[in-house]
Amino acid sequence: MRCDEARRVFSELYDEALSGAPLVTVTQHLASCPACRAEWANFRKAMQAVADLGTAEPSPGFAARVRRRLEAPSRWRRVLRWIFLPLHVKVPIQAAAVLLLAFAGLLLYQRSPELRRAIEPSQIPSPPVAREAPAPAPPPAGGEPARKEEGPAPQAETPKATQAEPAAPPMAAVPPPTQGALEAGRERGASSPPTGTSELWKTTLPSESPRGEGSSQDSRAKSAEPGIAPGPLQQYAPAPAPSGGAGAPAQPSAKSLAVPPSAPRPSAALAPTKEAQTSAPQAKPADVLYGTGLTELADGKFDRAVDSFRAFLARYPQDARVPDARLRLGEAYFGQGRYAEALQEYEAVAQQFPSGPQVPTALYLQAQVRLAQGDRSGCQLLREVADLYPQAPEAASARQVLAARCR
Amino acid sequence: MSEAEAPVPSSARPLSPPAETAEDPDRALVDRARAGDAGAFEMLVRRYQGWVFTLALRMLGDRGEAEDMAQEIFLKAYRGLKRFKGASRFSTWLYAIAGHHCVNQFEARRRRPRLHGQAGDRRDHAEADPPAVVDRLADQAPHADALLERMDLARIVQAELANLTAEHRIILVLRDIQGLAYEEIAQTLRLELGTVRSRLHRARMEMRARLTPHL
Repeated sequence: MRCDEARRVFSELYDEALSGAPLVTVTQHLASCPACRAEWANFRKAMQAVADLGTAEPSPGFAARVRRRLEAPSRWRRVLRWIFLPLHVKVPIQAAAVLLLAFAGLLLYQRSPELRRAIEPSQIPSPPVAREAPAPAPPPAGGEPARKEEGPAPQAETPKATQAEPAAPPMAAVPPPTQGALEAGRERGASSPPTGTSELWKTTLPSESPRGEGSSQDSRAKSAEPGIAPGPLQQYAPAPAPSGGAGAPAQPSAKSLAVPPSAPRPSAALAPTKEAQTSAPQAKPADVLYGTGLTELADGKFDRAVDSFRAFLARYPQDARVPDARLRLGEAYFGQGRYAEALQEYEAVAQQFPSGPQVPTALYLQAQVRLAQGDRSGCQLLREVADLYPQAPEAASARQVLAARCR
Repeated sequence: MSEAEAPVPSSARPLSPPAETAEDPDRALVDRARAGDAGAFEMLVRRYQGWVFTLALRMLGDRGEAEDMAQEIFLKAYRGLKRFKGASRFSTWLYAIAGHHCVNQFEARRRRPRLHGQAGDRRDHAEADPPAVVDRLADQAPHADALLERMDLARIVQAELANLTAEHRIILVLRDIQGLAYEEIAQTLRLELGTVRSRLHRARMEMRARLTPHL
């Protein structure tokens, strides 16, 4: 056996895989060949060194870490687990949350007329009371506080008035049109023939002009001045004996005589926009609804204003602003050209709140509507205003109209 | 140490082919693991973690990387359990997975630049954890020199092992460290028996040539 042949079987010799003649042959060669014997010795040392590397163990907890990786859910499974597990806890909570949100949304929808109007603009329920004959005067609303921004409550009310409207500050809330406002309205009305349309209404609405608003403000300011009756009732209390227009006979000018049927509109000088602004922040449902109606009236949206005020009257019949709301409802009707319904509202105010500060305004507007319809009974109403309420701003206006149209 | 945690002995060098027809001792655990029992698979991991980790460590030379690779091998095996039909022993099937994974990963790492520690770096080839080495040195003070020599030689062997090709390295590890029989190596690496013999011979002769100057 040659050396290369012997070294070629070193691997099998090392593994003891040789037997028989091959094993004898290589054994004899190694015994006789020092070079191959040394090579074989090196081979065995080298292989022993490799084998001495031995086995190794991973760090403790290796198997547990592998198991954790096996059981680690995927990202989506982790998210789903986080959302839904444990089912018996999270699903009922989630269902309750959904129901709560749905209930809150429904409640918000029901409590917010603006939201309902935005969603169903044409499905506002109409209060039936507004179309029918005026209901009896509502009992005193003890729980409905008077609005703070509308001035102090009447101080000198008679017991009867207190019974009718205990906390009503109506004329402060609905200040009567001042002379300036009335004349402004008349001047505009004279320039365009009265047609009873909403367009005419818009052109003569005193609150649309700064002058009108200023007049409204002035009227409030005047009521607080010394020398003038402090309370609306005192200011507009009927005169004990009609003097046949001798109260304060103002000389009607040519302009002021040309009183058109749009004369009722001076009551719009009650500055609805300002009231809407002041009532909105209170965020009470009644205030919101009332303020919405005022805004719609000022914007000439008579249909919506009718809906709003009718809804207000239906929902809050005890509110101190009921007479004001009826006056404004009448204005909205007038804006729609529904004179009969407007008259109905004005008459209702005068009948249901006979001692209320809105009476002169209601009578004056009623007279203007009648005159606009060619009904001369309006003249008699104007005389009543001038005689019974000589202190009211409407008295001066009434005398002017009387002089111009009732001679 | 329990049966489940007992590592496969590496000193045994069976030359006869494994009794594939005999009952696979892992059969019960494998069946449970295939049914989704992670605990049963954890037992299998404990049983073979030493073998798989050793193979990975000798192929890569770094304990951290070897542990990661060993985890990947077991995860791969777990995911492939449903394809394991029991035609061979579980250990043979696992060795095949480990062998191919090691060779593939080693080749992939050779193709991409390494950011640290080339395969032959001495620091990568520490035979044991430093604290363990210190303890051993303290406990065996009279034999400290001999131990240091052995550690030094082990580092050299590991470094020279890393200089072999992947084919030579793994066949040397499987045979001379893991103690697999030729037939098991053939099954693990899917080679002919004659190829195993010739390749092992060449790998051994190369290793002998590399180690002779240090012996």
